Amino acid sequence: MFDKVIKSSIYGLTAILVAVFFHYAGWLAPVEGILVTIFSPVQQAVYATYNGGQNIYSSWLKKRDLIVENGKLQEQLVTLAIDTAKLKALEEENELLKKEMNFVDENKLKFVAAKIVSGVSDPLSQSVIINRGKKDGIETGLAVIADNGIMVGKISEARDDYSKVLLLSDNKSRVAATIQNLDHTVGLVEGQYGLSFSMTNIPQNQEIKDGDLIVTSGLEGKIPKNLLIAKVESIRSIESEIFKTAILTPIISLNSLSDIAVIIP
Amino acid sequence: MSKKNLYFILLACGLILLQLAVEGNLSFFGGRINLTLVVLIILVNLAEFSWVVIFSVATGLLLDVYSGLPFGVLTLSLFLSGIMLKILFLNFFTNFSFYSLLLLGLIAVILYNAVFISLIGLIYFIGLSDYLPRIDYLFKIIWQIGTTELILSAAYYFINPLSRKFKPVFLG
Repeated sequence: MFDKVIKSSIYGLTAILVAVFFHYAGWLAPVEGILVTIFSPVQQAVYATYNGGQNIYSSWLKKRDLIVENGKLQEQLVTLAIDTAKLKALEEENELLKKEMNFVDENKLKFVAAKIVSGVSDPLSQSVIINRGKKDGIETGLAVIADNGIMVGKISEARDDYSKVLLLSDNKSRVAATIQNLDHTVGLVEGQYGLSFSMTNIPQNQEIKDGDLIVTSGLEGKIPKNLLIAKVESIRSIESEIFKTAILTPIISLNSLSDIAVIIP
Repeated sequence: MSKKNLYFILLACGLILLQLAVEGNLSFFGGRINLTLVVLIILVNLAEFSWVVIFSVATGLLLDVYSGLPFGVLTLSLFLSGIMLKILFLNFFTNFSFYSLLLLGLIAVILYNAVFISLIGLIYFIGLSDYLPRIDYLFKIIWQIGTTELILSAAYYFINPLSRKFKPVFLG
């Protein structure tokens, strides 16, 4: 029996090593592309349903508070929410796309609209997979926006038919940023283990206050200037240190994104 | 292709979709349910070792395609856990009772996460990745133990009437 275990283990390990080598050599890319393409319609549906479910759940929680103040209206709202859940999801999607279109039109930016197919399969990174890739002009490092031009992440990996987006909340994420209406880079927006993000490396003499809006500085060639990132929630400053840190509040929730746009420089 | 193989492939694909739906939504359940591991534990109990290897490699590689971590980490974690679980199972779990399944589930979650964290840690210290689990990942492991045991319990009562393997053998 143990001979079998050893033999199968060696086969398995060889298969893994070969697959890893092929992956990094890029030879596995067509197969991975096909797999993602095959799975994406189902995944997209599951992802959208799950997000829809989450929306229903969160609105139910809000409504529960309103019951105390307005019981009768609440009952009507619950009924309406169930009846119009699907319609609402479609409306929201439509609205988001319109906002994105307006933003990029106003700023004369080129963009590629994309849908989030799925999140990633590991519990540590904060990324999503979108249904646009190199074939659509997407490349690593491009800015990804949602809603009314709010930056939500960067392309971390571009494949022929799909791409991975590293969300701003990922602790690997770094974006050169500034305070709105300033013309020089103030600091770096860094992810905080998927929980939130902060702006680091802010010089002590730089004036920054709660409520300031943080935008991209345009220092990174592939990311245009003035994309809204977040709002300053609080400042952490120790006099003996050269830099201070601003804790930021995201403007939109990064957990329930569905339609996004990739800005092409 | 035999029916068994076809069912197996369909199961693996369905499972990946489910796992991605749970894990990939950045939601509360991210990292708290590991369906792939649950099926691996059941396979360790019911199937031959070669199936454990095929399953862990195939689903692991598929999950790695969708992973933000270095390629191969999830596959190696599943594969090494599968080997260790099978060796444990062959040596110490001779009866197929409900309690042995639950105990194996507990060991599996701990083993899988130990392998996963070790690999991630190793890659981090080599400098190939910036990811390192924080202390709150421990809570996710506790959650994983709970959800795994729950799903295994449900699976036991579902599989028990269908399979002759999940029956404790009492002597005398």
